[in-house]
Amino acid sequence: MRKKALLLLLVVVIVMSGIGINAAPKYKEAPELAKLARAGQLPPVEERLPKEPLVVEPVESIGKYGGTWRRAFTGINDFHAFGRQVYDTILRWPRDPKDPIKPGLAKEWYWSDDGKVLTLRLREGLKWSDGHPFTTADITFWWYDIELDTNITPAPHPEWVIDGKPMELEVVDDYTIKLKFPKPNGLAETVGLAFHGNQWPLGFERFGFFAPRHYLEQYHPRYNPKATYELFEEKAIDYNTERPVMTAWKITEWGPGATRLVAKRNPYYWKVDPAGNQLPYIDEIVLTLFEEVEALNLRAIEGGIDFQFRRMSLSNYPSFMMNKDRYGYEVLLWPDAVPSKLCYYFNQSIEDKGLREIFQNPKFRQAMSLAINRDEINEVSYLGLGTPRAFVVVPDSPYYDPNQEQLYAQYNPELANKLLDEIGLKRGRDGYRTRPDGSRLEIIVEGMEWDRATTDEMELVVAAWNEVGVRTSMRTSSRELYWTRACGNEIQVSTWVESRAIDPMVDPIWVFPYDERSWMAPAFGNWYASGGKFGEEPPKYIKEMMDLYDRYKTTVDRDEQIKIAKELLRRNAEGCFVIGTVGLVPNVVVVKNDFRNVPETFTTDWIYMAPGTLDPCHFYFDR
Amino acid sequence: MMSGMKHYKETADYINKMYNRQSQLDESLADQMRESEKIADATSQWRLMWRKFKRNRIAVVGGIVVLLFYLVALFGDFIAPYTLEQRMTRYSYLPPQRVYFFAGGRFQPHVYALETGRDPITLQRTYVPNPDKRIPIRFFVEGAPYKLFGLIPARRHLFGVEEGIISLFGTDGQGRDMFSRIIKGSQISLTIGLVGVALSLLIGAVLGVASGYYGGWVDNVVQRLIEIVRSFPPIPLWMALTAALPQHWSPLLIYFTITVILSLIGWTWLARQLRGKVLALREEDFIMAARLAGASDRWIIFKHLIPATFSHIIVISTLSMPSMILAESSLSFLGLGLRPPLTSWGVLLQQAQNTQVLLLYPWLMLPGVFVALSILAFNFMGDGLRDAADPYTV
Repeated sequence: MRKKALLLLLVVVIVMSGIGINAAPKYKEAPELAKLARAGQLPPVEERLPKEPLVVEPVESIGKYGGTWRRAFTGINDFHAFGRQVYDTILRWPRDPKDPIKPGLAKEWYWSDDGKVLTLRLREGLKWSDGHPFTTADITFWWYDIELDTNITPAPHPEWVIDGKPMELEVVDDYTIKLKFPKPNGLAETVGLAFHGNQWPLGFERFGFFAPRHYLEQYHPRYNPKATYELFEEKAIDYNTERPVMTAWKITEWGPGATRLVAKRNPYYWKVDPAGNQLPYIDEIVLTLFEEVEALNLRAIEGGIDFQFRRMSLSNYPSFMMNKDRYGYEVLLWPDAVPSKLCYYFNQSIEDKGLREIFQNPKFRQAMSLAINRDEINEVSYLGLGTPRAFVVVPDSPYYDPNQEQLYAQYNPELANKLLDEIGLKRGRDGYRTRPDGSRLEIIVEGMEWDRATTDEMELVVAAWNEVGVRTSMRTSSRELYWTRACGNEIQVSTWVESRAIDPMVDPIWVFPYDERSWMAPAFGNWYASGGKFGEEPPKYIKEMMDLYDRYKTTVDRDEQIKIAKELLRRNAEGCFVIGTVGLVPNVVVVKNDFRNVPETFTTDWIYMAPGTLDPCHFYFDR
Repeated sequence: MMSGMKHYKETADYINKMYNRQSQLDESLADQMRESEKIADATSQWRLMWRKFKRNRIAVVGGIVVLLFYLVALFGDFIAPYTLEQRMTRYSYLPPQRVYFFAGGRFQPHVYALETGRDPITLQRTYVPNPDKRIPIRFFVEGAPYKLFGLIPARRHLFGVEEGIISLFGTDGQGRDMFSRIIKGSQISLTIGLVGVALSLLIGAVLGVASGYYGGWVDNVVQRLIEIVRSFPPIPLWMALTAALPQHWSPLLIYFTITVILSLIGWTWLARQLRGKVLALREEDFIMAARLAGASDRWIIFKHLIPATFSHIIVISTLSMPSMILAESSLSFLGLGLRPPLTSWGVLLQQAQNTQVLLLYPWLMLPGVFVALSILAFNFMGDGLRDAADPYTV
């Protein structure tokens, strides 16, 4: 009897909800799109959205349509300024890094029992920004015609190559695809699909898992004999305003000589809010170009930016606080998952054999770390807001070990001098040390011109190293030049603003020489990344770390992964592979008073595409 | 015999007389010569120039300021209370301190001790002077060791404090005393002008005089060369040249190369001016006379032409000093010239080019004031010299 009643109730509910769907339109859209749809220039919103749109849980409230989100960036190489606002991947990082991976373009995914086959189910009815259906064909296009085409990609991303064998794809239908590996793939979900699983196989850090086949095929030499690879790259790149996108906004204005980048609403965007409003709320994003970070900050201080934390410098915090009421914005301090705001890599694969020997000695690196007065740096450069610490993962990380927090991070010049004496770097009469063979020892620390605070910090570190008798000078150059030279194994001591401190295993460039971006030894990294084809064969202590990561890669057992990661990070910390100074330095976040759905606090890590996981498509203006 | 004696005496008398007359004559002649020399001396060109220059008040003030600047630069290490390497990070971004001269009616220069802290809202560093705790300023105080003129090791500084900090012009982010840095900066900024001008003088004088004196194809080549050099916009040219400097060079070498680069362009103006002057001079009678007397070209150039254009050379070099100082400052300001650890006014200004300085720490722009001051002083002095160089015109 009760069972029957329940069944009846269920039927009633189903019928009623069915009526509900039919009675009122299920989805709402921006007024400008509604106008176009009424005029017949766009299909109605129900047809533009997939069968099951992704529902974004608002941080604060349901929003309103309209407005222009003003931001600023420093040029074509600053693609993060736009790219991280449009984080639309196959799977998604969760907002809280402790949560599991979330669905994205794929609504569900499952592993085979042996951990070797991953099946992805895409949302049905997804469409590119030009209305063309998004299917598994866009994934196979990326894999076979971009990632595996050596004219475009020299080597496929490491997460898709297990035991030297690239993955195999099996297309089941338009919405189902199987990823097959010779061994369990521990990186596929996180690195492959949540981190790299985006639409930019050629642009933004080469983060791609799919590309618009229907548009790009015509420019690919394999499909069009008249096309060239140069043309293909040009058409596939992020800034091409013609290329269809899957993101909330699509770049509509940008080109050579442009001083601003405009991205307008994508009418086929596949996310809605709980009330059924198609996202994004905001009509367009406008990024103004500033060659100078200082000028960019000045614009923000004067209220010319609606919401941004990228490139906002902490040194300007006093100015922001003094001007916030006048210009109507709020200044938030969001924790940044940086082990150290600035980190120092001694290049262990530097050409100069004498230097290489010194840099490879862990005692030397430990001494250099001990020579730094981190409290002083914190006060001078970071308003005392940071935490003086070693370069290790942050407490939020599953691999965190509190014993490593202060390893070789206390200011102890006596011990530093003792260690340097021990390894045969004797002080000359001028107070400076020589190499063990008696020749002159001089090291050059290089960096980029970030802002005054980082320059101050670098100068303090350089002074500290001179203080213990290691003749050190400093040099800065532009990002492009610097990046190229650092990856090219040309820099003795490089510096960088490094994050990846919650889960560095996602892209372990600072853990061990992983590829040419591992500036602790770019040549060894290159050797590892190319499977021994390029670069230089590393010494044993580094090879052991590479083997550990190979093991990490090929297990889907999370506990085993954590164990391996901890071991790797222990070796890294004890050997001072990276020297950190002051970490957990907050980001300065500027938010206009009427800009909504921005949380009070949020831990940012660029690996998690901050603020991408906050779903910028649901930010709105309360006007 | 008698007549013989008499004759002899007469002759001797005569000779004596003649001798006396001659020596009298000689003396008066010498007197006359001395007199005329004196007159000539009194009205020599240099004296006339000095007389005219002295009458120009502003020029004299400019000259004194220039002299003062160079004196301070010379004794900079002694005058500066701190060395370049001294970082007092406890006092970063300290605004210029106020100095009090009297305590209890007695002359006792002192500053107040500072309570340091942070503003709870803006997190800006705050420094509250404590009037109850006076820190006397001591003279000839022991401080950080340095080498006077780069040679003599010393520890005494002109003034300083035994505790706390004395910072007349405030400190920068790393707590380095701006007063000391500006003085140290003047050593480079001012000498780069001096050395640069000397170098361009050398090139300019040789080529300009040769061009004017020989004429013909020499003139043609030199003048076309000048036109080519001058047709380059200077800043991009400097940028290209300084960008080509190997980065591993020692700061000293970079300093000299930059001076050379600056003077490589600076010489053209001087050469042009001298050529014009020499063109006029070589037609003068005294040159013609020297030539007819068989003087060699070298003799004519070094004995007649260069001395005759000397006043011009001085004026021109004084007037090109500011442009050298400016060029160094602007190159360094753009990050292309000198780099830390070298400290010049341009380098100091380069470090001040950010919004924080503009909004919060304006005293870091003080080096700019000194650039302007030195340039004004040089210009006033140069103008005075130029007016004085031609003392015969009114």
